[in-house]
Amino acid sequence: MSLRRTLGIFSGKALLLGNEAIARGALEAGVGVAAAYPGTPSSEIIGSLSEVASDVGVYVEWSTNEKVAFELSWAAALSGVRAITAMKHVGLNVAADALMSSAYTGVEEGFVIVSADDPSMWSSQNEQDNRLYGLISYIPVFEPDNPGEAKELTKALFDFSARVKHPVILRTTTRLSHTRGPVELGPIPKPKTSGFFNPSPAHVLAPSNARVRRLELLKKFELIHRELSSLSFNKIYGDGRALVVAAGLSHAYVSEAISKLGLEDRVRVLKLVSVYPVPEEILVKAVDGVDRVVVIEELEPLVETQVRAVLHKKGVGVEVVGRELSERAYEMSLDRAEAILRRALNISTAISRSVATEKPSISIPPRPPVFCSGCPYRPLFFELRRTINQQKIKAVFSGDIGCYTLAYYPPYKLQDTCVEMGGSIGLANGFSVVLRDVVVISVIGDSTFYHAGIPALVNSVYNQHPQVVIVLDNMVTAMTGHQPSPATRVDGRYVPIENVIRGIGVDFVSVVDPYDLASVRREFLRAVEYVRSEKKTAVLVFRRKCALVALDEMREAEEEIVPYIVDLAKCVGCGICYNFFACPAITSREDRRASVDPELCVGCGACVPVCPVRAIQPSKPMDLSKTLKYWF
Amino acid sequence: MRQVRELNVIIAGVGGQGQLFLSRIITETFLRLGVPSLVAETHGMSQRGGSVVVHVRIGNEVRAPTIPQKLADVMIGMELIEAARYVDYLRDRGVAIVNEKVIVPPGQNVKLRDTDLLAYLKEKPVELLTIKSSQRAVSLGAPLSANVHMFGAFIGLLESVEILGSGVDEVVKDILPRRLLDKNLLLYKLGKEDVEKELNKARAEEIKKFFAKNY
Repeated sequence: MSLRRTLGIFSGKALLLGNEAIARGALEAGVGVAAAYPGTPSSEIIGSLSEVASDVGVYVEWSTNEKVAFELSWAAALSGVRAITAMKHVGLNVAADALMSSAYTGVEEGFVIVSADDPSMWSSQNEQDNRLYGLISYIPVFEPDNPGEAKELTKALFDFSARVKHPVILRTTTRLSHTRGPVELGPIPKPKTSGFFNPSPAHVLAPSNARVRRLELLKKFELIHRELSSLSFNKIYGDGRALVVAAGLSHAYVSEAISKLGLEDRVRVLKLVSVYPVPEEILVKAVDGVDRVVVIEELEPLVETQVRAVLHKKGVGVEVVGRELSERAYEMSLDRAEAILRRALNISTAISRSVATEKPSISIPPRPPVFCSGCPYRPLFFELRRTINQQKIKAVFSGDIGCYTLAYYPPYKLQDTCVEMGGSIGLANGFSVVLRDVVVISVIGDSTFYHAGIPALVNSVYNQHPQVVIVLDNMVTAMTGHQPSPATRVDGRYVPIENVIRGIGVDFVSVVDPYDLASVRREFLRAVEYVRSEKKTAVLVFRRKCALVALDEMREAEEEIVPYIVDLAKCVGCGICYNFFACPAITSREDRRASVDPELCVGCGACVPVCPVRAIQPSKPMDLSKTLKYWF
Repeated sequence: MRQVRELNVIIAGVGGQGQLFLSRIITETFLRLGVPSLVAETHGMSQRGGSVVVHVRIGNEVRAPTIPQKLADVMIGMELIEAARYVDYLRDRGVAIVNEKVIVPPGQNVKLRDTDLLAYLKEKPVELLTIKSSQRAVSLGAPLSANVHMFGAFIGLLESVEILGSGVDEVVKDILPRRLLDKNLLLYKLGKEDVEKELNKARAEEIKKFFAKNY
């Protein structure tokens, strides 16, 4: 069930994704403003809110980046309107400047900042534990352990934030955000969406005011710390000689491991939802009478460090174990929780199952993600790779974050760096200063360009860095699930990329359809020549809609999608289509000739000009130009 | 129906085959029958034609979102390479329902054929049930509904081992999307029939014993 389908239901249970549960909690708390930039695993929070925005009367927007989204929601909370912003862990780095200052200003109404972390890096460039942001910003951090609790906690955090007039961080991880589970539904009040701004020195962080605010903040944080002792989400249960402190989502794994190992009457459990700061009162109560404390948490030993400090301060001389019992890297699992408990409590029982995992007798090929059938990036990278090989161009491809990162993989191999949002043009600025005899090429998508590419491009133009900037405009934020970017046409309204680029002062700007291989080659070579001779910045915009969007619109309009077939009489088995173009719908037959899988072909026709003998054709007569309107 | 304490299901396939939809109709069915579940989904990068695994945990005693290796009772393999990759999640004598379809990872010059993969799966200490979901769906003119055929097979298996009683069909009728409803209902029915035929060929009594022992 989606959040949308639960809108009219105010009791009973529904199966919601962790992220949808957070959105539901915000609605039940009367949220008035929500803003975010998408990023896995956070996207469905604001995504599901945007689907219900007009029904509920909440203001929801996809902003250009996390900092902008943060500031928009912060202003709402400063003006007495409940607000939520959500981002992936690295998104909070982008918004960190605002985060720090928000603790100094405080808020008038509830302000919930969701940080969705990604242990094991399922869709991220690093493994970063954002609970640590609590430490540096003086903002309390909370982490639930299932979707049902996530909803209740979100709702409670709005009230808590409003009461202490301070922002809060709700931290989730992939396995909470993307886990679907039962959620108890409650009533949704009519949201308050307009506010009143009361000028105060607290909002003007000039040094003279900031010094005052700093002292206020330290005082306020002590108060918040004391308040957390009465938070009902933290719980003590069970009894035994050992105390297991289970923080955030880890509690889900730990509680199941305890019951599977039959340890219920051997351990006492402290389930912690407020992971920073750890409330002292409940901790002191929980350690009473135990002779060992085991702290179980994902990633950094944040709770463990606090537990050690509190017990030391209170003079409780009990042994504490934690991080040393398991790896610091990667996410928690039932296996890991079991191993920690067995080691910490010195027990020999195990969750019964066979553990034989011999090496597979066949070699199972890896299956990295690939460009979808119909993706406009495939013909582009195919033609760039071919041109670079044939012309023997020495180039460094400074890549970025988006679907096009997949061009790193064979057969294209056209991403030499991929580091952070907007890093493509930024690193290329530096490469163009120190690398000789190579062409520096940066590759960035439309959404990433608007997110963090523009300042780097302004720099490139102003300081005259010779680089070719390739902007891949598929008119949407594709990788995270098709949220609008400023390049997305909404009732004809959008921000044209080439206008921005020309406005910055780039003289070489060319807009090309990536399906048109001859133009790709011609314009690319022209841009390389310009950069070499003029020593300035050239920009190529490759524009065609994300195939998933175009195909959705075609299906919606009941436009017939005609799959292609290979004329086996013409096919010479050269393998260009399946080895170098590498569309997932095209495979090789035993005799090396090509074959198109009708289950995977989307009838885009991008492979037609790739075949040197024109053996690929529609399975029945059709007019491709009729479907062109869906692609632009 | 019988009380379900814990039933662990791994859904393995290639991004785009509809694993998330399949997991949703499974858990929605159980929820309507009064049994909660937790599903760890795969989103983001791995959805773009990559290897996708979804952990479905049904039952009242489930807390952790993911299934560790050797603790799954059923694997629904939507594609043979992915079925081979994740088969070790199954307990010994667990059941693999596998769609006889190979999607070759592009650009890697992979030479594996379906016969190699089936032979590999047969070596494993699991009960292998093979069905032709993709073929069924394509021949009915609903190529994106192979997952509904697999859903039917899964329900058919649970009925035959008496984890699910009668009355499921009524719930299913209500859950399947209105779009292409007739074709989807037919695929669901065919899935049930096809898995029953496989069960008769396989050691149905062994499979019943496996579920009786664990549940």
